[in-house]
Amino acid sequence: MKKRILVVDDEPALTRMVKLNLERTGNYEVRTENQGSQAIQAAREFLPDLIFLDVMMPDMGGDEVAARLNEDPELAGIKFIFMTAIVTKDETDATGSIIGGNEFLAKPVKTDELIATIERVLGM
Amino acid sequence: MTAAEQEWLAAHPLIRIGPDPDAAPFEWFSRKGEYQGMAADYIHLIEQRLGIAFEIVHASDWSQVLEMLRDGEIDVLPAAAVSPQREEYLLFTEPHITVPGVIISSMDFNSIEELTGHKVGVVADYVWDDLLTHHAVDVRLLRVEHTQDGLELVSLGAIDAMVSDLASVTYLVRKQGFTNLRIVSYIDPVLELGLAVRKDWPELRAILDKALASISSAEREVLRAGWLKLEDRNSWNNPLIWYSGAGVLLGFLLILGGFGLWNRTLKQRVEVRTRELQDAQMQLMQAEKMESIGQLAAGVAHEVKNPLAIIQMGADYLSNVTGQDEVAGAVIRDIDDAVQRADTVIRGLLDFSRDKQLECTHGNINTVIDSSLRLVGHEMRQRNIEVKPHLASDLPALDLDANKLQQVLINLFMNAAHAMERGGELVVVSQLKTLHNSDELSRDHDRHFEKGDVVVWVEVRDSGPGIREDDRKRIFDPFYTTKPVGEGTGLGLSVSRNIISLHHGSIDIRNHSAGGAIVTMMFRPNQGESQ
Repeated sequence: MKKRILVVDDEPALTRMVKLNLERTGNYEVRTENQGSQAIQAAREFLPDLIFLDVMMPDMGGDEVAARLNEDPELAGIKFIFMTAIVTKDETDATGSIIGGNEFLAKPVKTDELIATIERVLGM
Repeated sequence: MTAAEQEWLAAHPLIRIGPDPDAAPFEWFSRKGEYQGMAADYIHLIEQRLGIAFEIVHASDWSQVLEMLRDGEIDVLPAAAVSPQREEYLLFTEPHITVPGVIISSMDFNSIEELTGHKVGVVADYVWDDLLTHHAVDVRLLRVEHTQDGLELVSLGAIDAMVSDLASVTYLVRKQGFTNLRIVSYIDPVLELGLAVRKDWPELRAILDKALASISSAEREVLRAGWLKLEDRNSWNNPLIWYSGAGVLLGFLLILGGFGLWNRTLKQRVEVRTRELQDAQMQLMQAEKMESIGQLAAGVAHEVKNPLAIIQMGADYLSNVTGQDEVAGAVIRDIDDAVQRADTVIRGLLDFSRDKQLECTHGNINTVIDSSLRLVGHEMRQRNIEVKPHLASDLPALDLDANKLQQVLINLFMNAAHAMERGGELVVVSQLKTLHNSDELSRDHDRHFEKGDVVVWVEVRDSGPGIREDDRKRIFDPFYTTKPVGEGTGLGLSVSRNIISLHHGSIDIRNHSAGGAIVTMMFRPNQGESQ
C-alpha cells in the first residue's frame, strides 16, 4: 500500500517538486499545502502517515502546526519531518522547541536523501 | 521620536542629571571633575542620539544627589536601582545596566544557601541587603557603607564573604589588588540600573526609553566590556599612582638628572592610552558592522535557500526523465555542483557573521589553488586572461579548510579578472619562504609571524591598473566596494580576511612594482610534516 505524505511549505514550486519526485517512485501518495493553517484541516481529511513541514511559514510556523496536530487524538502517531534552512535566530529558536525524535532536513536537500529519511522515519 | 516628543525636548532645553559622585565603575567624577563610567558612556550616547546636552550637577555624595532631586534641583539620575520607595517620586526607564550578583570570598560557596551560619558583608540598603534580609537563609549579616569596606573585611578574614555585584567587585579587586579574593559564585537576582526621571516628566522617560532602545546589544556589550576589562583606564586619576609616579620622577631626577626618560615614559603612556581608546572605538565600529552583516546574511541565506531547494529537486526529477541522455546527464551534474557551491557560499557568509569554526583537514595549499583555478578557468579564457601558476612542489602540509580557502582564492581571482578588462596576466605563486626582510614582515598585519619564521607564501598578482591608495586602506572593510552599485557586495575581501585569520594566517594587498595589484597570504606550516 502506498504511504500517504502531506507536504507543507509556503513555496508552491518546492511542494510541487517534492510531490513529483516522491510520486515518481510509485511508493507514495502525496498531497501538498502552501499554508500552515490549512495543513491542519488537510491532515484531518487526508490522514497522512507522515507530514513534511517547513519551519518558517508566514501564517503559521511548522512548529505550531505540529503542536496543534499532536493535540488531536485522532491524528496521534503521525510522523513529522521538518524542512528548514536553519539560518535565522527565529528559526533556530522555533526548531529548538520541536526537537525530540523529529527529523530535520536542511534546504537544499537532494531527493535521495529525502527518500532515505522518509524510509527511516516510517520504518520501511 | 514623535513630533510631540521633539517639541517637548525643544521646550525643555535644560535637563539636569545627577550622577553618584563615587560609584565606580557605574559612574563617578574624576579628580578633574569629569563624569566617567558605564552610565556616563550611556549618557554621552543618549546625548548623541537625541542631539541634546544634559547639564551635569556635581553633588558631594549620593545622599545629597537624592536630596537635590527631591528639592527639584536635579531632573534625572543616570543610573539608579528600582525600589518601591524610589518609585514614589521617580519614573524608571528600562534598565540599561544589568550586572549579575556575586559571592566574593577566599572560601568556596556555591550558592546563597551555603552561606548559612557565616558572616557575610553587604552594603547597607543596596539590593543585596534586601535580598539577604528577606532570604530564608540564616546568615550573620554585616552592613558596610562601601563595597570596598566589605572586600577589605573579607580580605582580612574578619568576615567570610561579601555579596555584591560583578562590576563593582571586578573594578575594586583590580584597583586595590585583593589577591586572596575570588568570585566563587554567581547568584540571582541581577542588579538592574535604569535612568530615573522626576515624576512629573513622563514625556522624558518615554524619550529616554526610545534613545536606549536605539542602542544595539553589540554597542552595549562594548560599553560594558570597556569598563569591566580596561582596568587601567582611570589609573591617571588614582592619587596613589600620582604619588608613586612623583617618587619615581624624583628618583630619575636624582639619578639621571634629566627629564628625558620621564618625558618618554609619559609619551609612551599617552600613546598606550590613545591606542586603547582607538581600539575600543574600532571594536565598537566592528561590532556594529558585524551585527548588520549578520542580519543581512541571515536574511539573504533564508531567501536563497528556498530557490536552491527547488533547483536541486527539479534537477533530481529531470535526471530521471532524461534517462541515459549523456549531454543532459552532464548538464544535470553541473546544476548539482552549482547548487552545492551556492549553498557553500551562503554557509560561508553565515560563518563570517557567526564567527564559526573551520572544518580543517590536513592538506596542501596547491591542491586548493589548482581546484580554484579550474573553477575560474572558463571565465579567464573568456576575458582573455593568461593564467600562470608557479606552484612549489615541496610545500609542507597545512591544517586548512579547503572549502573556505577555495572561496578566498576564487574571490581573489575574480577580483583580478575584474581589474583586467582588456585581458592580461594572472600569476599565482606558492612557495616556502623564510621571512627575513621588513618588506615581507610588513605584509603580516596581524603580527602572526616573526623574522626568521618559515611560512607557506601565496601570491596572486594581476596586470591591471593596481589599487588606489585610498581604497587600499579600506579594502578589507565590510561593505567597502569599488565596483558599481549592484555588482559587488563589498563582503568578498572582508570574508576572505576573516577566513585567513581563522587559519592564523595573514593577508595583504598592495601594488606591485611592475604594475598591477598583488595579494600576499602567509600560513604557518605544520611542524615536521610534509607531503
